[in-house]
Amino acid sequence: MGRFIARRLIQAIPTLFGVLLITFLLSRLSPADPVKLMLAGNSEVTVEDRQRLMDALGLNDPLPLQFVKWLWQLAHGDFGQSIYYHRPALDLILERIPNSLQLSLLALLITLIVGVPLGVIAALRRGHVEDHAIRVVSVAGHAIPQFWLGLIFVLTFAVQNRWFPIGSMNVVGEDCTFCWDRVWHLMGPVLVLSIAGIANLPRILRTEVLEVISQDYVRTARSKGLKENVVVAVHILRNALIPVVTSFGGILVIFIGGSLIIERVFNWPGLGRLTFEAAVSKDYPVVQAGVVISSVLLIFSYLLRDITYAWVDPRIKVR
Amino acid sequence: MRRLIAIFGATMLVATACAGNTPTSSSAPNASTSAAASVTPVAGGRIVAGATGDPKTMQPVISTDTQSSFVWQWLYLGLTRTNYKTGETEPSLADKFEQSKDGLTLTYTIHPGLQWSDGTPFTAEDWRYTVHTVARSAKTVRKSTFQDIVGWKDYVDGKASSISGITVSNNGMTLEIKFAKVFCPATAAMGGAGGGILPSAAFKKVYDPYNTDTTKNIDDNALNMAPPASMGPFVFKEFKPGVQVTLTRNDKYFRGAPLVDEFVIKVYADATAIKNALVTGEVTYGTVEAKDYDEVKKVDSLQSFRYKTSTYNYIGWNAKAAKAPWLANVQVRQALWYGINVDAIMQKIVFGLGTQVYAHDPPPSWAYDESGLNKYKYDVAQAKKLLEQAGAKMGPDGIYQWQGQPMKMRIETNQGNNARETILQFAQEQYKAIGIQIDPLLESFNALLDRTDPGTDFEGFIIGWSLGADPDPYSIWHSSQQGKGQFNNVGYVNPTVDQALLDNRNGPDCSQTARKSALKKVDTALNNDAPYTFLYSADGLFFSNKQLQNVDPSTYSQTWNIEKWWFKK
Repeated sequence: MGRFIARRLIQAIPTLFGVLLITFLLSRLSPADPVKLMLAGNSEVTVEDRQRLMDALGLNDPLPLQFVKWLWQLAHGDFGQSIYYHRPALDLILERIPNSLQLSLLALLITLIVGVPLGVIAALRRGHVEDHAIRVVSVAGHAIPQFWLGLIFVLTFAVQNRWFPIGSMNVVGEDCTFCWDRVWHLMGPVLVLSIAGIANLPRILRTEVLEVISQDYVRTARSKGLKENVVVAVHILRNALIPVVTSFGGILVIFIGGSLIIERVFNWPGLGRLTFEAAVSKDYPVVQAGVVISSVLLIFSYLLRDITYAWVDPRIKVR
Repeated sequence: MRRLIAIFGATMLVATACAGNTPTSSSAPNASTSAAASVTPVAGGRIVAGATGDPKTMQPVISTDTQSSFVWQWLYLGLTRTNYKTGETEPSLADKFEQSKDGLTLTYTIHPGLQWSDGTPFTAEDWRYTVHTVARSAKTVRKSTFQDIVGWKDYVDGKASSISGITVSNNGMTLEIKFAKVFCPATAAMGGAGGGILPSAAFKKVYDPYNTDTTKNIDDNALNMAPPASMGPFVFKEFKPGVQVTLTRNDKYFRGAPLVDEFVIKVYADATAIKNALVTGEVTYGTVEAKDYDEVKKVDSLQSFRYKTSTYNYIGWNAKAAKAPWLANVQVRQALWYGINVDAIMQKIVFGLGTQVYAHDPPPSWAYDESGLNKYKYDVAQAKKLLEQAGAKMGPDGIYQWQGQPMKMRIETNQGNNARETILQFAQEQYKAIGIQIDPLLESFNALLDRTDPGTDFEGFIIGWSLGADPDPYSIWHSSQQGKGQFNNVGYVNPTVDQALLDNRNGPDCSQTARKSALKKVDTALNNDAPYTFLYSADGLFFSNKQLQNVDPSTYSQTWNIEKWWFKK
C-alpha cells in the first residue's frame, strides 16, 4: 500500500508541473494586466506611477523569470502575495475554505440521503409509477442549469416573497455558525446545489442496482432467507455503490473549491467566489494558489477513491 | 478621482466611493425629502451599505480601488473636502487654506482641538507623516500628486531624511507647503494628502519614514487592514472577509457624533444583488441603474433622489486609426456627431434621466458652460453634406468611399454593459443611414482597455468618464499624453487646447475665473473638433430607507452629512 501511494505521488509531479505551467501562461496571455484593471483608466494616475507599481509587483520581469520565481517561492511553501489584497494568497484561500465546506458537505449529505434511496426505489420498482416519476424528476433536474435555478430561487423566494434571505451567511448583526439564522441562509444554496446531485445520483445507482440484483450472490442471499432490506443494504447497495464512488472521485475538490456559480448567486463568501473574482481581476497569485491547491486535492482525492474501492469491494486489490 | 467608467458601467454601486474628491451639481431631489426638521432626532440603529467586493486595504496610501476607499473614507479625512453640491474645495480638518500670490506656497490652518478617536490630538504632523509614507511607498499610485513639492525628489531618492518643502509650525496648527512650480489643482489635491490622512502616532510604531532608508515602507503592515484610529464619523470595528466591514460611531467626530450606532458595508456579488438588497430592505441606501429605476421606485419602503453626475459616455474616434484614415478629418468627425440621434439613445437607455453633453466638462462642474457650443442636432442631410465636403464620394453600394476605400470601420465596447451595447446598435444602424458601415465588436472590459491603448489599431470605441471635482483634463486631452498607457488615445492634437490645459494647471493665476476661462477654450475646441462624439451624462438615482432622515445626496457626495442621519420610528 505504501509503495502504491508513493508511486502515485511521484506520477503526480509531471501532472502538477503541467498544470502550473498552463495556469501561469493562460493567466498571463489573456488581455490587460492587473495594474491596468486595478486602475481601470483612472486618468489621475500617471504612467510613471503605474510603472512603479508594475515594478513593485514584479510584473515587468520577463515571463520565464516570473515563472521561475514563482516555482522557487512554491518550493519554499510560499504561494505569493495577492496583488490586490497585499496579503498572502494562501491566507485568503484558507479563510474561505470553511465557508465552502459548510455548503458542499451539506449539499453532499442531502444528495446522498435523498439520491441513494431514490436510485434503489427506481430499480426495485422498475417499470412502475415510482420509477417513471423518479426518471422524470431526474431528467428535469439534470436539464435545468444551476445558475438559473439559483437566480429564480432568489427572485421568487427572496426578493418577491421574502421567505429566504437574498444571500450571504448571516443577517447583518448576527454572527453565528450553529444557529437558525445560518440554517436559514444555507437553505437556498444547499437546495440548489443538491438538486443537481439528486438528479444525477439515482440514474447511475438505478442502473447499477439492476445489474447487481440479477447476480447469483443476491439470489443466494435471498434463498438463505435473509430479510429483503438486509439483502438490499448489504448485498445490493454496497456493490452498486462502486460507480457512485467513481462519479464522486473529484468530490474533495468540489468540497473545497465550492460551487463557483452558486456562491456568486447566493453571495456566499466561499473559495469559488474568491477564485472567480481573482480570475476576473487577474490577481495571478490567488488564481495560481487556488489552482495548485485544487490540483493537489484532486490528485489526493483520486488516491482516496482507489483506496475506497478496495474497502467497498474487497475483490479489488491495490496493486 | 477621474476614471473610465468601468466594468459595470455608468452607475457607481456604492454611494460614491471616491471619498472626499467630488465635484458639483444641480441636485433634484425627486421625492419625499425628510420632514425631519421639526421632529427630534432619535439616536440608534444601523446603516447598511452595499459594496461589490471586499476592501483590498483600509489604508489610503496604497489604495487603488473603490471598495477600499469606500471603507477608509469614513475613517481618514482630508484637510479640505469637496462641497457635495458645488464641487468646490471647502474647509474640513483645516479651517483655512491660502495659496500665496505667486502660487508657490500653500498654507493650511488646522481646526483647533481636533482629536483622533483614540484621544490623540490631530495636528499637521499627521498630514506630513502621510505624505512621507507616500514618497517611500512602492505600491502607491499617488506620488505624482506631490512631485512638485520642494525637496520631494531628494527625499524619495534617500538623499534627505524629510521633505524640505513641508513645514509644520505653531504647535502643529499650521502647515506650509512650498512648490517648485505652480500647480492650480494642488489646493484640492493636497488637502486630502492624496487620499486621507493617517494617524501618525499609531502608524509610526510600525513605520517611521523620517530617515534615508528607501528600502522600508508602509505597504505591508497589520494596521493597513485594522485602522487604529479615526478622524471620521465612524471607527473600525471588524472585518469579515467576503461578508462585511463593521464600523461603529466615533463619539469624538468633530462635526458631532453620528446619531446611528453602526455603519456596515456588506459585500455583494454584483450590482443586481445590491439592488435586490435595497428592495428587500437589507441595504439602507444605494444608487441604482436607470433600467431598474421604475421597479425600485415602486417599493413603498424607499425614498428616491436624483442628481446630476460628473460622468459622461462617449464614442471616441481614433484620429490615428490605420484602417480608417478619414477619422483624422474634422468634418468627418462632425458628420459622425450629426449622424447619431443622441436624444433617442438617451431615451432608450436612461429613459430621459440624464443630460446631453457637448464637451468635456459635465453639467455639475463649476467649469461647465455650454454657451456657444454646437448642439449637433441629429441631421442626416447635414452629416452627408459634411462627408462630401470632406472629400468622401458615394459608392455604388450606398457606402461612402474615402480615396477609393469604402468607409467601413469598427466600433468596439465591452460586453455585458447594456447601455454601451445599445449605443453600439444605434451607431450601427444610424451610421449606415449616412453611408458609413460599422463593424461592431463586443469584447471583455480587459480586452477593450488593452485594445484602445494609444496606437493605430482601433477606430471607434464606446466608453465613459467619471470625473473628479477639480477640473484638470490635461491627461485626457494634452497632445503629450499619447504614450502607452496614457489617456489621449484618440490622438487629439490642438495647440490652443494644449496651452489652455497648461494655463488651467500652472496658472500663474489659479483663480476660478481664470481657470474657467481656460477650460472654456478647451471645451469650445473639443466641441468643434469632435474627437469624441460626446453623448450624455446619466443622472444619479439614489434610494434610501424611508425611515432614514436628513438624507441629502448630491453629485459629489451622497453621505456628506451622515452624522445627522437618523431613523424615524
